[in-house]
Amino acid sequence: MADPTPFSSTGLRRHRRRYSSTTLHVSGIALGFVSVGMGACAVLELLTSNRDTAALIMSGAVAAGVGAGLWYFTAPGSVRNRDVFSAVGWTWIATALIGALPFLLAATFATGGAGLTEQIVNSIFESASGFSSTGSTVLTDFERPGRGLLMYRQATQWYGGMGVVVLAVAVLPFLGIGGLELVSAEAPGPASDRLAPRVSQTARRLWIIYAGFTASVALVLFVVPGPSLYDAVAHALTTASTGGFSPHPDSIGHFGSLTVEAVVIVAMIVGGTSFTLHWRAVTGDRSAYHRDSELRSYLFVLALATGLLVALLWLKGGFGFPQSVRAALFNAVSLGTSTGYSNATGPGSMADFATWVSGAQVVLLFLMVVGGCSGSTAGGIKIMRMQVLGIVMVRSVRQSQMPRAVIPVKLGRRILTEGIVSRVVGFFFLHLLLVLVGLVVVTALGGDLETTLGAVVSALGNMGPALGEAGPTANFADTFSQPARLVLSFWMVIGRLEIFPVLLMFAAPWRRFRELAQVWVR
Amino acid sequence: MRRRTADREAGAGVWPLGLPRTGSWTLVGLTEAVSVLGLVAVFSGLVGLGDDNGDALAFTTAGVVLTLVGFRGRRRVFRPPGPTPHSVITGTGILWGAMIGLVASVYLATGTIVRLDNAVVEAAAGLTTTAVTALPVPEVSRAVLVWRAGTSWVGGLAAIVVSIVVLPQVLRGTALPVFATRERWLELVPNYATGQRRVAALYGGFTLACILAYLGSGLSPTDALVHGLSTASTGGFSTNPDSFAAYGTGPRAVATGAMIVAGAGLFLMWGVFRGRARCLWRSQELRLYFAILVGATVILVTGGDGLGIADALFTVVSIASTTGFATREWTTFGSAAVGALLVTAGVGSMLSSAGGGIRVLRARLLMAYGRRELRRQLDPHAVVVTRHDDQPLDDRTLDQLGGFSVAHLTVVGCGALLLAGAGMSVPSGVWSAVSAVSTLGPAPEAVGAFGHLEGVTRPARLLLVVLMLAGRVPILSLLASIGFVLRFNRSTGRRARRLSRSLRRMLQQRRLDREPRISPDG
Repeated sequence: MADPTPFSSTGLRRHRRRYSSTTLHVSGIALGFVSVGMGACAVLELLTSNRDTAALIMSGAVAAGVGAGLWYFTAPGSVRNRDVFSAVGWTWIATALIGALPFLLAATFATGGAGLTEQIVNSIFESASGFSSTGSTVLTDFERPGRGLLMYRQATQWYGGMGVVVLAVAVLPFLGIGGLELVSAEAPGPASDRLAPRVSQTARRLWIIYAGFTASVALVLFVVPGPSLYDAVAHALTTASTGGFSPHPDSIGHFGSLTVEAVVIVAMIVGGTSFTLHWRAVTGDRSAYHRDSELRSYLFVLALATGLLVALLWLKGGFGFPQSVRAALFNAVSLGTSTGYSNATGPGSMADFATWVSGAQVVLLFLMVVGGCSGSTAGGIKIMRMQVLGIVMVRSVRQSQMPRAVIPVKLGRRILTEGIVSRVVGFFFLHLLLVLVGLVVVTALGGDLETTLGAVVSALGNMGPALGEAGPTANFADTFSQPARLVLSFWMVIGRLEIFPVLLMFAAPWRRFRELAQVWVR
Repeated sequence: MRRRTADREAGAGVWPLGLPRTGSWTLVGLTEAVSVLGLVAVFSGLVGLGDDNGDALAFTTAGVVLTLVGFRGRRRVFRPPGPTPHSVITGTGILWGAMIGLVASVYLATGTIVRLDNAVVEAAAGLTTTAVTALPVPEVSRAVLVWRAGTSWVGGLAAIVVSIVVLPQVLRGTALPVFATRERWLELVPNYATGQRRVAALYGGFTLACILAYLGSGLSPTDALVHGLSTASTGGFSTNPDSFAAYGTGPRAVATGAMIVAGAGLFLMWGVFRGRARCLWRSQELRLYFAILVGATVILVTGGDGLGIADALFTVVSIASTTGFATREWTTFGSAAVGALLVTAGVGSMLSSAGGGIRVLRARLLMAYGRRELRRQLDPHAVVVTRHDDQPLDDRTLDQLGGFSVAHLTVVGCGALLLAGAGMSVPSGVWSAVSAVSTLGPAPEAVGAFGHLEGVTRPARLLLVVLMLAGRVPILSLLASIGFVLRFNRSTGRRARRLSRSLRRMLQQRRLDREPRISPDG
């Protein structure tokens, strides 16, 4: 962590004819990876519908050019915490912006006489929703984009699920020092878990298990009657990443198949579980799942929510018992893992949870807030944090009765340090603060309270669908104004990076600005 | 005299029936509360004299009985030396529950309310200073109106005494009593007796000032009395079903000013009384309180609902101080206004007031908590000192405050979930939960701005009682009381199991004794 150079905190410095800036260097590498995805999808587009090939090739060229330029002309510099947050935060902003190019160039959102501003806003929203693996969409006409472009839309979520920075660390270990900090800043959860002595090995193993899991889901979906190979791959990409995009307007409801839903439910649960745990289980540690208290709590929360939903839908919603179980289980898992798939066949259909009784909607809102396990691709506050918060609450009661008692926070067999505990509590309050700020800002920009509350919670938890007019069969373009959509896009990125990196990404540029200002004043 | 006191404190006295006197802080509090409630009932009966119904006689009789029971009971109990945090915290929750039961039984005994659930709701709303009512206000007599407002006044006084005098004395070194710098607290509360006397004098004096101001603004004596009691206690009960919509600008101006002072709390009054009003501007809590008032007023005025500054300020002050008076049906304003009011209601009033909410100071400290964690993210080894009014707060205090706030938010979240399950819509459930826990009362849809409970289902009403209680009793007290009851149940269960085991053994032994014994030789 020690900074080898006296001026590296200023960000830019000459270094073997290259400028030293971790932020620009990492952004360049990430854009390079995104351009590879664009290129692959351009080939698919060329071979299938061939409508948006040019848009994808041009976007890929821009991404590759910018990425290569940033990568070539810069070198990784200092990796103090502020530089790490800056690198991760700005990389995601750059990725979301450049990732919007294919939609913009293909005029995907030029429907209903939409102007250029509307198209730009919608493209950014779709891209941010994709890379943050949220799943909210502004796409209305699913027939307009070609199959390659739709696959690119799916691939954005796959990139975002495990994280482009983790990918960069995995593939390019020569990124050098600071890999662990970069992975920790991007990986979901309060504390990063090492799988190997070298962080690049850890990142590589995470990506291997992630890719393997995606391939398995694709294979199973392909074997199951219903989805074509294209559909299987497309849904596997967004199931493993718990993103929730689908090439069909009615999502998983398009297949109308119980078997497909069952496969997707299992895959979503696996996607919402820690990938570190999966690696350990796959590599021979049979009791890894059994030992993990977070996994037990996660399954308990899902079971409890499903039970409550079944009871509410059956007793108060007027559904039959089997239909209640099917709708409740699918939607509880979909929102509990922050995937956001829907098995509704249209607005007002049985599985359209925006029309469910209010008690059921609050259960879903609760699931949106909680999210999946730490170390998984799921969003939300995370089960582990909720466990810590519960223990902190009980500890406060006990400490108020015994003011001098020193009561450690114990999770499973582990005693958590006070640093982690206060980080979790701080994260929770910042999360709440962002929900409140988002609520006030987005309602001021138009939107009713229920829809806005659901949308802000959904964006921050990377869920996708929300409540009210932004339900699973609704479209965000019809519900929110342009500025509100931009705010929600930013909130998605904040949620994906778990708040701290985005709030702190201005720290390094600000410090640099201050130092430059001091130099100018002198 | 000294010997008698010593004997009494040692529990040497005996009951007339030969039972020993009991040393219990809970019973002392309960007997004192019964006495005060009795006096309030007598006063209500006296105010109602001359009405052609039996309420005056009924309340006077009930009041005399309560007063006698309270005074006689007070002689049978004594304060044990050295109250423990556990006994006080647990006792506070139990005491509040007992008071609600007592007031509800007065409603039932005097025939004011015939249904038990309504009586409990009305009692809880009164004692917790929440502005909801199940009474048909235009039809009830003056005695009932004064009694209802009087219960709010007693509840407000009890809340202040518990939070300013009792808990800080007992819970030194914990986060619960953080409400001012220690010096300022010691000025007001040097010890129990003086603190109680000063608090009662300030509260009583402020109430008298409110009543006189209302009289001066043109209200009738009964209206002035009821509104004075409701304003000082932040109870929000009005003699008119349309609250302050029925009055002109004079009473509204008085109410606005009085609610600001009531929400600011006793430290403001104490500072003014001691001629140190200028020092109050150094209070960060007071500045933030005014900032919230100004900010929310600006949002309401610019919200496009055609609201004038005076009306907007009245509404904001009523909600920020958690009083609950209304001049307009503000629940139908635009989403931004309703969202801003939701945040204002959630934050609530200042800590030394009778109002509710998470409190302005705690909200400020929670922001400081978040800032501390952000700072630590940048530099994990940084020593971040959080200050309040130029006094440093230690990390332990902040951590406990975090636990308290998590408990508060958990109660709100669970309340919203259950209220939605009881038939409210999602926004109404969330609003009602926040409003009830903040002891405000009004909420969109079911309850409305004027706090009428006709549209609320019976399960939802009972849930509101629990939430109001959770907001009024310090939340840790409530949790500790629940813990106490659970422990009591567990120990009772253990005792019952032990008893049944010994009974079984005894029966088994008896059966063995009855069986014919066979000698070894056959």
